[in-house]
Amino acid sequence: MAPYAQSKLSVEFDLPFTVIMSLIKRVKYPILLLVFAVFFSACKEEKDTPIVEFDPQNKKVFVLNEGNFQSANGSVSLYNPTLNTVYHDVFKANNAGRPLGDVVQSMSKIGDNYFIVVNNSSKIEVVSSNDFTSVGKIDGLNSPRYLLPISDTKAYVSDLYANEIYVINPQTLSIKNKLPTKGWTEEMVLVNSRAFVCQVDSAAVWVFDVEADSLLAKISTNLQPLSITVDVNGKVWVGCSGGINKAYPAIHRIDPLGLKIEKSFEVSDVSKSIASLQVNENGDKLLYLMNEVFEMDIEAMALPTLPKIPSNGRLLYSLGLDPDNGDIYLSDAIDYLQQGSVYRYNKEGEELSSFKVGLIPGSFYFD
Amino acid sequence: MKYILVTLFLLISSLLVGQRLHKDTIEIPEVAISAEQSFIGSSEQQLDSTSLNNPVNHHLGEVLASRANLFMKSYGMGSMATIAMRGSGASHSNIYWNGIQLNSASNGVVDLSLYPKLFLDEVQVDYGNASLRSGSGGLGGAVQLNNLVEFKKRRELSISQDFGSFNYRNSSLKYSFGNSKWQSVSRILYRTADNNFNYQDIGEAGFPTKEVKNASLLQNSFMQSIHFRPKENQQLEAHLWVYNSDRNLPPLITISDFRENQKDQSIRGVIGYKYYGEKYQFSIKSSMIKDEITYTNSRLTQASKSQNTSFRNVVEAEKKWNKTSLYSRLNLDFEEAAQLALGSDKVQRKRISAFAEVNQQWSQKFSTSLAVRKEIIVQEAQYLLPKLELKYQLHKALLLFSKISENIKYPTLNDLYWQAGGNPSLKAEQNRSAEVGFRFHKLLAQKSLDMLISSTVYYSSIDNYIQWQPTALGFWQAVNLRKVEIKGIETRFELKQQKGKLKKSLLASYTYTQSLNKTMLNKEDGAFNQQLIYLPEHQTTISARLKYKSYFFNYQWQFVGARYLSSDNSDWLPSYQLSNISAGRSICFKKHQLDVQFSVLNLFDLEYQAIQWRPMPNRNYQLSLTYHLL
Repeated sequence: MAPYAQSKLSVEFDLPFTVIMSLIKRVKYPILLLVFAVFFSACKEEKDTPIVEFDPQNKKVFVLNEGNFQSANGSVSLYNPTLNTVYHDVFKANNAGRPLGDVVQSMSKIGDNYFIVVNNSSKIEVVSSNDFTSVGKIDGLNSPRYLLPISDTKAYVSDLYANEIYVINPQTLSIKNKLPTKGWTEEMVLVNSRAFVCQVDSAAVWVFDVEADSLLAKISTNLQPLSITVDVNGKVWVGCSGGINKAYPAIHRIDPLGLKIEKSFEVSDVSKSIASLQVNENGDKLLYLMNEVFEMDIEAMALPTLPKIPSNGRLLYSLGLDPDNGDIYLSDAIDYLQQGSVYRYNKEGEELSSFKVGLIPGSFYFD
Repeated sequence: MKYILVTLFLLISSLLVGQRLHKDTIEIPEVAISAEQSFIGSSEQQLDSTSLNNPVNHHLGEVLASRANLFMKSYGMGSMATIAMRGSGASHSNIYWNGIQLNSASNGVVDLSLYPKLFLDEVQVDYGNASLRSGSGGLGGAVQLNNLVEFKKRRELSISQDFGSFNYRNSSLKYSFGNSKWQSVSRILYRTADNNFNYQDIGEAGFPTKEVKNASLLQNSFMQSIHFRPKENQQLEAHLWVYNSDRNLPPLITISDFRENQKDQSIRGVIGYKYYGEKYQFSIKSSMIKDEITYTNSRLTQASKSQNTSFRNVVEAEKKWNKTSLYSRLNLDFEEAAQLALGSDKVQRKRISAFAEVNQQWSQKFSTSLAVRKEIIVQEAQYLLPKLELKYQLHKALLLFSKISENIKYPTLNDLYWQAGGNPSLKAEQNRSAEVGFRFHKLLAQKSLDMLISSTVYYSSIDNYIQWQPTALGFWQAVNLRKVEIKGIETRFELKQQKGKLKKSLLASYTYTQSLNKTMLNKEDGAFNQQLIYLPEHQTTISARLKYKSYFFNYQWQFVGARYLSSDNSDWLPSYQLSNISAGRSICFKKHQLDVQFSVLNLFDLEYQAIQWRPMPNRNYQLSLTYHLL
């Protein structure tokens, strides 16, 4: 039986049509499926990440890549400034392909271990500083942001939503205590057994006695104190973003003994924002991001008007300062959906190199 | 005030009785071997009842993924599902229910996992700017969901019960009755599931096998349709749809103890009148849609609530002359959104949109369609959107077509007013597209073999593509970030055959989508000329069905190509292939019929992720029983 011959196809359609029909007739459906399956199985497969060797002698610059919220694609990149080499996603590579999570917020070192705070994954991953392999993790946190090392057996952890600061034991990796706060707490510094904590939601710096774990004082600041640092004289400096088009951004100097603001510098423009306030390697200069990089002497009477490093069309997302030589590291997250870029400058502001890192490079750690 | 309106609407809808005019039948035979179909349009696809009736497709998203040339993005079993058509985003696909747009005015998105197929009698996919006929904004296309009835004397009952793995239970009831004057259709659905399947926890050292926690759902829904035909050429119809969904959202693999919950509640009503004469048709529809989403998680102390209310009205008129026809459509929309992040006041918007289309048959083979849409966002902006289509019937079975058009997608209320990050100075996304294609349809072997091949190649660009991105100030902002250039191919193949008591059908589709970013933000931007994230380049579906007497066998196969995770395409999820099989039997006894179907889903027990770090179910089973009283 030849049913196709009976249909009144016009001449120009005979050929392709007969081919298709004979294919269908001869090749049974399952085989047809198989052909498709084989055709498509030759596509992109998963990538392998080789183990990264750690040399204890080498200087290490860690770039903490936040990753996208709820996407578990945060990572840590390792840069060697001497050899100008970069390793991507060191945690995943040295921990059998396990992802770090998101949002990778900050990193600290206590003893021989690094503590990586992973905000949205509600955990602190603890890895050995010798090879970055997992030592354990601290769970049971809400949305941890920063860790302040106090001693071998004590550290404070700030949090976005918990309304408390966690007092943890870095040896047993457990939560020892919780100190009540009011909303979002951010960066912290330790001066003379006192922890100075950015209490973002209350526009204040709260001061705790770290031996008694008790609240000593609340120092009011401009809106949104996000970054905090200590200069060579032991004075505490706070950078306030001013919120989103709400208030003036500001830098305050706090006397750590009198627990009062001694000096304030405001930027009279609500559309601007101060972030990443840090001291240089000598502790006598302050650097911060306000779209561009600004540098200010700790004895200066006013904020600088000209940037040290202009943005040049980049959306500068974070700033890191090498505590040994004052090298300046800047990151650009580009569109926040791709590998970010890091630019390295010397302390004079001359560009030395640039390299690609992970998704949304948000902070740096130098060791 | 709104509640008074709801009550009023309920009252009106319960009083009104009506019917739908131009499509009075729903019983599409499994192998539709009929006379040569005429083509309403060239880029529309009517989904056949086989995929719509298959109980393995739990919701509209899965129905579409199994048959249409589009990408369904699913966050996991029972979780949100959205579609992307023609390389565009989830908010670029318009979803219409009986002609009324359902997209949220807040975020532009429709969660298709909340649309069980029980509530749909007919699903039509309009590719690309074929959607311009219904409204603007469907840059990728539109999906039309329709409720139809057959005007005949009847009393029909069907009750279904599905039992699936992971405690999936789906009970539904559909009761239709009426005569040649009026018809009533009632539908009720009750669904629960634990979705507690096992997965490999690659976020934990040693990769232990774990059970998905916090993924249970409870959904119930009710729909009442009343159709009334006072005269042969007039009908009134009213539909009321109430939906309640309470879902725990399963966490990412990396944060297994995070608990999220989302409650979706909606009430939707449409009333309509239609007159159709031989040369002239007219219809008017009025609707009220109210959606509420309540989201909570274990970290936040306060729930986030989002409410959307819209009143949408559509007037359509069509006039036919000998070789010319004129179609016009007027949309009057009022949208309102209330959410803390949109400020203390409700955000409101009025839209007026008018569409006119002239169809001209120049010769027996050649016809054209010229259309224009005027879109007015009251006190904000207005646009003029043209469309030209050429059709050439090269052969009785072969239609060639070509189309050029412009479209816009006006920013959603969240894009404009969300605090912080909403950007009132956003521009509308601008789309231009061109396509050529063919459609070959032939009945062969003494009409026992029905074959359809269609393919479209298109080029499209989206300017001012809106994307939310973080700022250095710690919040996200909507910006007109990119220009996107899209090229693609949509191909469909259908073969249906009947030989005595044996029916065979083979349906296949292939979709190629290249959606490239054409903007370079700065010299470090690695995303230039790269594929947009979460859009596979290649996709294929095949579904084969055999029916012998009362027995049937189904095989569904789906291939989804690699999806990029980063805009510079440096990271991706690998491609995957899924297979589902079902077998079953219909047992008839007088007026009673019992359908029994057993299905194996994810037949080869594939461990895969559709979205990064969100586990998908391994092999699972489903038993479906349906009782019909005819």
